[in-house]
Amino acid sequence: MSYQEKKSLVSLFATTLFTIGYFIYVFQVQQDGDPAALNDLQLWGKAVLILLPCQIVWHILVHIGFSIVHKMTTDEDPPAFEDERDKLIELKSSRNGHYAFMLGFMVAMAVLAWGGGAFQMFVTMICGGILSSVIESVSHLYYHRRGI
Amino acid sequence: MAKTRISNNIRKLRFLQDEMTQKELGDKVGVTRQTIVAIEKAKYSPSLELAFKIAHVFGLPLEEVFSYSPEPET
Repeated sequence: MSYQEKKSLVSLFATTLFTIGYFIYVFQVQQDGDPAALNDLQLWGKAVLILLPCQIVWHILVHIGFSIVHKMTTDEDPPAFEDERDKLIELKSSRNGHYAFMLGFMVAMAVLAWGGGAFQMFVTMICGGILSSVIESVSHLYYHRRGI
Repeated sequence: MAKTRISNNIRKLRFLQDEMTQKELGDKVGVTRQTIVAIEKAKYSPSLELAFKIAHVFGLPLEEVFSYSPEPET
């Protein structure tokens, strides 16, 4: 398995687990306080705004950790640059991820249209976000293994 | 994913060039070893520029390194 393939797998598990863990934490904290606040838009605004920088920092830490562990276990240096194939794979993977997010967004809007509250709408959108990052990582892995 | 219809004889040409490694070829044309592996296995069609660079490394015209098999007519 190449460096990029391993990186895709690590990214897939790290991002998914972090996002799921973060929202479980938010739900638990909120349910201990005022469960009715789960329909409060302000809460969701704060939760998403806090998530974004945390996710960036988490992503950087995972990337650094992975590079160190990979170097220690295989004694192989990571590729020093991205070539045309890597860039094409990156583009196609993010395209697939964006399609999935768009689908999640549409489903979230449908939930609202059929009378769902802010809670249901945001949970659907978050699931769409997690699904899009899973699809992006899986596409990355697929294109690296099977070719483009 | 289906293999491309562009085939090549890079493996043979590397062998004839004193067993040039995939990494050496990759370094000469500015791509990673994985990309050379994918091109050799016909899992990736290189850009025109990269194809010319590879042909240039072997000192051959493009059509002697890469060949295209059109779809069979029905």
